[in-house]
Amino acid sequence: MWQYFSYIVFTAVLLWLTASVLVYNKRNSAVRLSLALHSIATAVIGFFIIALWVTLERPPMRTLAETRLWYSFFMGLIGLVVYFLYKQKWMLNYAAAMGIVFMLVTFFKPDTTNKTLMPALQSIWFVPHVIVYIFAYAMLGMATLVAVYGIVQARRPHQNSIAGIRYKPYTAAESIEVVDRLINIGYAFLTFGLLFGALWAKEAWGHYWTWDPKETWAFISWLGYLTYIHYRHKYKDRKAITNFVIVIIAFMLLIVCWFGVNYLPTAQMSVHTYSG
Amino acid sequence: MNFNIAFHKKDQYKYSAIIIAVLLVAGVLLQYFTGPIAKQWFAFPNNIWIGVAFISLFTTLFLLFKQKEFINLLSSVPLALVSTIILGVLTIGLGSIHIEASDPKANPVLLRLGFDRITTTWYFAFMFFLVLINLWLAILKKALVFQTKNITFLLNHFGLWLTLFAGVLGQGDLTRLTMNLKQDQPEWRATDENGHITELSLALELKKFDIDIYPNKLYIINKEGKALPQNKPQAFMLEKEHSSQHLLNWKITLHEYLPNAIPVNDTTFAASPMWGATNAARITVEDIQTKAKRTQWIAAGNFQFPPLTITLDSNHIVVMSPAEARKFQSKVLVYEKGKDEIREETIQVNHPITINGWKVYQVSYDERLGRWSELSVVELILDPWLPLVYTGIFLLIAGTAAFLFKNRK
Repeated sequence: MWQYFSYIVFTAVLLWLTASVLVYNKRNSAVRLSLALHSIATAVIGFFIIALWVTLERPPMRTLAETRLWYSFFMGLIGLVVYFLYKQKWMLNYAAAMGIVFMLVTFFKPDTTNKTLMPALQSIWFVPHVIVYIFAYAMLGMATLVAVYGIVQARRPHQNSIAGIRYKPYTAAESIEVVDRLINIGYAFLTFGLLFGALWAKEAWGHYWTWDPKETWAFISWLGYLTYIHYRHKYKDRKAITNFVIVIIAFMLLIVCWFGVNYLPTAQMSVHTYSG
Repeated sequence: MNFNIAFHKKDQYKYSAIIIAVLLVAGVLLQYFTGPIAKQWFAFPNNIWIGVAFISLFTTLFLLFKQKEFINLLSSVPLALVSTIILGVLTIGLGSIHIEASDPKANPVLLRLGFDRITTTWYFAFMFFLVLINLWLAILKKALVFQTKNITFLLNHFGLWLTLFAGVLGQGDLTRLTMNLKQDQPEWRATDENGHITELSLALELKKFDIDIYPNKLYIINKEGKALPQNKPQAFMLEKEHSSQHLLNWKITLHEYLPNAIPVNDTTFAASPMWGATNAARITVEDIQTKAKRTQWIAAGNFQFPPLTITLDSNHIVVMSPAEARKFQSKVLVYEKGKDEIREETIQVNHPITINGWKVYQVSYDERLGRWSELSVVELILDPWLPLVYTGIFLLIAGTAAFLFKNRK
């Protein structure tokens, strides 16, 4: 089946890109067409997964390349769901971009189709656990960018162009509104990731929480966003800057959790390092 | 002096900080002079009493003094913020500091302060305890004046509280035992983490240990034994017969792959289900430039048979890497005292079995013998508090979904 993969990649990427542009068209019919194209791109990957499943006579969950197909598929799906929940067009773009990245990684690094999954990773929890984390990271990363923008904009409130390109600046209130939305979505998915991880750990390692370094750092970054949510809840009317600062610190903790953990002295006891 | 006036709301941060500072100092002193908190203190029935005492004490305090500022403070968002941050800082310590008691160079003061196992220290426990109180009082505050709009709040806070509360109390009753299963021998004994042997009211008898393998991979290595290209070794997975792949300057074609093979002579292998068989394949290696071809057997080798490789030139050798485990599983018979029925079960990684409250996990095997291992190591875990923890987790999942939905507005 993999010999047809390049067609799938081209189709999905093309559809997703077209959908991403069309969604900003003022006409309603264009937006609907965009949603349809986005759905078709997702469905094409879905069909490829089913076709692989049938021809391989096993769920395509065995190699890293196979799991990336699932990531792309679910990115498309989550993008649609989040769009229908929040009606924010750029969220659809963002999900499509993530989906495209995973397709292209597999396309340009076909040798990884040979990478096999060790027994502990072969679980129905693997894909949901990873997917919700990827999506959470995507949302929280975006929120951090907007927070940095918010801080810069607060310093230079009258700036309205970068390198000659003019834009309509967000007010501080608008920035914090966007940050807030994103953090709440990101936090929710982070919580799902943490809890799915706990449920999986019980099945695979015998206990739902063992203070493994990755778990510990996931918990720390979760506390970071919890701090943001409580601070924001308590001081709705205060200046936005403190909120932005908390968001940036929380994201730094998340970065440590993401790949910094491997470089800490505690890494050697982790079950989450799959080197080799 | 009117305490309630002095205790102005604006000072909630100040008082939160004071409470936490006092708890931390007390925790550090207790840790230094009395040592860590032992898991056994939470063993049944102590954990039941601690749980009941916690709930009745703080619920009574709340009902009696809910108008008072100190209850207000203990259930407040400022306390939640300060305690979350301090708990976070302690957890960062847990996630970054790596010292071991067995290391003679480790700083004795740091060891005494429990830096090698922060989760068992008094100061960590006090912070955890404060978070539990904070959550519990906040839940009571919202629950007693019940409104539909509070459902999300209650699901999240109660779910988290229950998960943490049942998780920490349940630790004392968590039993983890290891059992070594040998072929056809019923085993009633298991070993705990301190090496004590216990006899259980259940037994397991290993009937068959199986490893499913992934097809082997071929690599080209140099004379130092490094797979090539050195920065990113290329492999040919022998998944499909008659397929071929380029490795460096050679094209390799697979004709026949034998997952169970024994040597017939120095250069030939044949399929055989014999105990201790290895993996072998018949392949053609073609030099892309010179078009020179040769067809030969290649074998991974194991504890019983040496590997068979193909030397291409002075610095290039084709080798077959040992098979990687795809899954391993033990077919066992389960005996229980007082029961005549004997059950047959399969224990697999990620698929533990349940016997009379115990969960049994596949852990390991004799790695030297690989798939011919006649030893299977399983772990038996008893965690009677798990249903409560899971209830907490599922409430928290529901609460998070509700939060996501509410965020829409």
